[in-house]
Amino acid sequence: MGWLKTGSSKPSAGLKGVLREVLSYKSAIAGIVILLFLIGLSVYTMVTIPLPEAIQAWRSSEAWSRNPRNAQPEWIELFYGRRLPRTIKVSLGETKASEVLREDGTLSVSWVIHFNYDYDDFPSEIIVFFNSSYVEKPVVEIYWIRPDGDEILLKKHSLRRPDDRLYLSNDLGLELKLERLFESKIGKKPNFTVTVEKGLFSEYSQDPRVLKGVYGMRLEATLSKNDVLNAELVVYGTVHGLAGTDHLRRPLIIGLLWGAPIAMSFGLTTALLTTSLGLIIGTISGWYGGKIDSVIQRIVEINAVLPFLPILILLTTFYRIDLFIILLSVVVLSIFSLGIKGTRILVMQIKSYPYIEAAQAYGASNMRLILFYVIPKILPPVVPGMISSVPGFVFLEAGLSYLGLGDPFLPTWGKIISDAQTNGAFYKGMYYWVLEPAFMLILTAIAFALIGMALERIVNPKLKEL
Amino acid sequence: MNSEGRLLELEDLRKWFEIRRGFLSSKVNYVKAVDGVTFRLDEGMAMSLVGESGSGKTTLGKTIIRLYEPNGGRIIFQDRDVTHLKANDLKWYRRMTGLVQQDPFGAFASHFTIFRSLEEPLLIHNTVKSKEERAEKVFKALEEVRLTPVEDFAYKYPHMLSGGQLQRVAIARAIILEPRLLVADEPVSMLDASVRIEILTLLRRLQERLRLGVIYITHDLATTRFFSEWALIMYAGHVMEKAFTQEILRNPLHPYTRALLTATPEPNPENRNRFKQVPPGEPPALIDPPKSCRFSPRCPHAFDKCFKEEPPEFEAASGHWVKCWLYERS
Amino acid sequence: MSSSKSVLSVRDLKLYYRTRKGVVKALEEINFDLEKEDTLAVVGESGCGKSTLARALVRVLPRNIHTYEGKVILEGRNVMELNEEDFRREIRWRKISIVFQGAMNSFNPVYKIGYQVAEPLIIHDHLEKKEALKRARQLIELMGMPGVFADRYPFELSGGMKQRAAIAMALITNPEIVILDEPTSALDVLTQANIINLLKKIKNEFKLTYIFITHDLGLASELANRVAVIYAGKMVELSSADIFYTQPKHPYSKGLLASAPTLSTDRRPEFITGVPPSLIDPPSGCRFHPRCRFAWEKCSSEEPAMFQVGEDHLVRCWLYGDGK
Ligand SMILES: Nc1ncnc2c1ncn2[C@@H]1O[C@H](COP(=O)(O)OP(=O)(O)O)[C@@H](O)[C@H]1O
Ligand SMILES: Nc1ncnc2c1ncn2[C@@H]1O[C@H](COP(=O)(O)OP(=O)(O)O)[C@@H](O)[C@H]1O
Ligand code: SF4
Ligand code: SF4
Ligand SMILES: [Mg+2]
Ligand SMILES: [Mg+2]
Repeated sequence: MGWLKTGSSKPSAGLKGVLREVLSYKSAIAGIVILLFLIGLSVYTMVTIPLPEAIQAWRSSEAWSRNPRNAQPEWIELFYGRRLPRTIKVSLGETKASEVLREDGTLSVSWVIHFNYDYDDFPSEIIVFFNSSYVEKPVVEIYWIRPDGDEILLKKHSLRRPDDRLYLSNDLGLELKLERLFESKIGKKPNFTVTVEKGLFSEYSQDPRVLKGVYGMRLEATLSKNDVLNAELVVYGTVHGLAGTDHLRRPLIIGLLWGAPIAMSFGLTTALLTTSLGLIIGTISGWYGGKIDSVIQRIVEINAVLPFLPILILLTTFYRIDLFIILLSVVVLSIFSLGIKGTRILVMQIKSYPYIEAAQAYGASNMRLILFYVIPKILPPVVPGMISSVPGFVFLEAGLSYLGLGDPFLPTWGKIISDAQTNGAFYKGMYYWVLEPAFMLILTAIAFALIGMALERIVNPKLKEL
Repeated sequence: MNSEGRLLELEDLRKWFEIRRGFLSSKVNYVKAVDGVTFRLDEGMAMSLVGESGSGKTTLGKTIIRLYEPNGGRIIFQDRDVTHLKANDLKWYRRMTGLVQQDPFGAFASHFTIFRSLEEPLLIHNTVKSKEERAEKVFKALEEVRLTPVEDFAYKYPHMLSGGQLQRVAIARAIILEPRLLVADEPVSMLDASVRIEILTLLRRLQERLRLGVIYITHDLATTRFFSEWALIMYAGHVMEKAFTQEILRNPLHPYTRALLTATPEPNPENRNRFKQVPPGEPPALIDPPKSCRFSPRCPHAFDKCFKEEPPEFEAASGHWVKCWLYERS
Repeated sequence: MSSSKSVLSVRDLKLYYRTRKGVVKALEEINFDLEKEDTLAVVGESGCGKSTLARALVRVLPRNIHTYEGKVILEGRNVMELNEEDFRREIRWRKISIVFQGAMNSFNPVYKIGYQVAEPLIIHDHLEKKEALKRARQLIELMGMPGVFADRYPFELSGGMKQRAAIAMALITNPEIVILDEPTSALDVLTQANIINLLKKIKNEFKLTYIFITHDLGLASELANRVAVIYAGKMVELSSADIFYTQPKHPYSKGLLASAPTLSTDRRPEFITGVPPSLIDPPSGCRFHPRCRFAWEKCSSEEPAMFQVGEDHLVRCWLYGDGK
């Protein structure tokens, strides 16, 4: 144990010296850069999306109704080499309506809205959201105007409630109608299932081919005098934002961003608590010896054979699980780890050093000896160990979330993976859903591991030569 | 204050270490490291404690400054019985005594600067309140041991100093609380021959100037001469001979003392042409030492009585005590 | 010089270590000749390069060597030219063996002493284990230990006994030259005296040549008929022991002698002030000048050579050099 040698071995000359030495390792620089990135990300997240807002948004499904479901991140295009559809939202409010007053005092109103569709793939879903107030339920006729000029009556719909929604994609009647339209246009059955999206956006051809150009939708309704009708057409894309969305249309970016501060603070806090408490217990054990030592050693040995994960699972099923409870349980279960034995032996060694005896001779108390003479000596090898243990705790939290034992409210990386798993992400080819949080987890782990390893080499010169 | 400048008196002092055989066994053995030591040391005097390793010198030294609690006998310091002091009284005693250890490289916490190492005793005993006064004391102590300019040394870490320099710092630390008694446990045995004299001279000057009582532990008889008034020869936990240093060197009486004197090397080109007449063998195990004279297995003069009875201390000449049957007055 | 009669001649031996802080010039311009049955005492403060010299001669070196050059002529042959394999086969332990500094604490705790003493025989002479063990036991007895100690483990032996075993290990291959690097420095005076007696005895018995490294001039005089003083990596005085102990010339040698306490005279020991210099950036001129009482300008600007001051007496000091 080279670092333990008093005097002759070089002590870390302050924080500055350590930092300078750390920076002489390229891997450590990489680790620090990643860590700084993650910290920057966390700060940015916490400032721009305050936690209560994030939790609220993450839990409500309504907030995300205009997002596509299970959409891939936008940059996935780079791999496909095609322009994938973004979500297009067009509202009636933006267009002028033409009104005709009837004799019976009702208004016959008609709107036309237009949008350009220029993607290489079909949209994932089409919904019309209504927002109206009326005396008597109005009937709305919806026409689709294709770039080639064809106009199709999509539906004659009587509003069921003021904020009714028309899920065009799910409309089997419409689907059949479109299929017949295709049959008549090309003279035979097309080679594909004419879904609503394909029926509306494909050329009339044997195989589905996106018809690019300006589409229109015309709405015609008969309203009473004071009725108000507004509607929004949402043509959902297949890609969304930087990170895509999940099965509840939630943008994964929020979970990925918030996952960083949560994972890091959980990992760091648990590592810090378990290491420092373990250090104190080990020091007491080694310093005082005797009965205290025996008791602590027995606890450590019992703790070593106790199954950690099952107990944790048991605990989390009994109590209301939140991150704090998980943290506490992990800490309690980890402090009596085998690491204490190592600390204890180091302390016993240090206790026999001449400089301790010298301090006893000038009257230093046990407390002073432990705090100022022993702990600073054993800290150097403990700190890199602590840093290196962070990824373990980050993965533990992710693992618990994955098992459904995590905090149910917080958006964490483990939760995202768990959601992906239950929704068969891999099976359905939605790799991004798993790979993104996994990437973040690994990035975090690598950052801490690289820094920890460099520190380890600095305090333990024997490793330097490797 | 105290009678006739008397500083320290040991009466039949014993320090036995308990050794338990095996895990469950209740049978206890003792290492009789210090087994009945009696002597007196006056203020401002230095006493050499000489003997081979394992003879109990360190144990005796540590028992005197109460790093160990004696199993028997008494320690009287300034007319006060300190044998079993506790808590605050013990803290007082810690201030009155100082220790210089053998290994200068291990004697300092490597994470403390020299300044901090010297400041620690002051902080613990709170003898001076202000930071400025403490700094002044630290610098003064460094000056005392000639580590000047003091600023050059105060803020260094121990590994930046040589063994000799560190041993000076150790001395500075031992005197910073202005103790009356200093135990120097082989303070130069790990240093180069060329710096030994320098350190010993320094220690001697301090002793004379501060009227310190010094117990100088060594295995090298040659250095006792100019650095102590008294000498006490230890072997296997017993005091074999004690007298003025000059007296012992000029007129060694105990066969063990004579052997030590013969064995001590001196620079002389004639040496290579002769063998040294020294007793073979090694000191006995202190768990089960000979019941009679502890030197008898190696002694060239041993006779019947030596193997039967332990000799008492005989006063062979005035103030010259020898624990050997050869000096029994018939 | 007299290399015809000598068993060992060293010429311009130089060894530098590479470290993070710079190149440590641990040994430079080392020249000496040894005749059969000589004992050369190599003395100097710790860190002056004594162990480096020992290791350079048997070529047991750490990895961070920067420079290693010069001539080591053993029985008329420059062994520095041998490759590692030949050196191991023909020289190390066969012709020249070593008791390393702290050897008694370097025994492997899990092997019996007898086996460890016999190991060089098994490795270098490819002797059968049984035969080697028998020889080891004989040698252990010759060292003044009971033969049964061969069957003990290192921790069962006292320091003195382990040191005897270490010496046995150096002798088992019947070398001509044995290097003893501070062989008694951790031992008590009585044990030390016994071991010195033993070294004298076996030297006579086996007609050995010793290189005896120590920082204790008193101890050196127990064995040496020649003395080499090293200061800061360079030899500063080389002469016969008889001359050296009665008329030392170099100011450093004088200081060393004056610092040795004696029991037989009333001389008060004195000391050399200051500390040895760094070997990474040694002082200019005479390396001793910052501590020397006699130094003048020339000493700090020009480096003195080894000047001949008498038959078989060389001194590296301007006091004895050109025009003075
Ligand atoms: N803490 C201890 N426990 C048991 N035995 C000890 C202890 N300290 C010293 N001894 C034994 O007491 C004897 C005297 O040791 P020590 O006082 O260190 O002698 P010295 O200083 O003269 O070399 C030795 O046999 C040693 O092994
Ligand atoms: N492996 C090494 N690497 C770097 N420097 C070394 C090494 N071994 C010894 N030294 C340095 O070389 C010098 C001579 O060392 P050494 O030969 O051990 O001296 P001595 O035996 O006289 O005490 C010292 O300054 C020492 O610090
Ligand atoms: S009492 Fe006997 S054995 Fe002991 S020292 Fe004296 S003569 Fe020797
Ligand atoms: S050369 Fe000069 S400095 Fe060097 S030892 Fe001689 S007198 Fe002293
Ligand atoms: Mg001791
Ligand atoms: Mg050496």
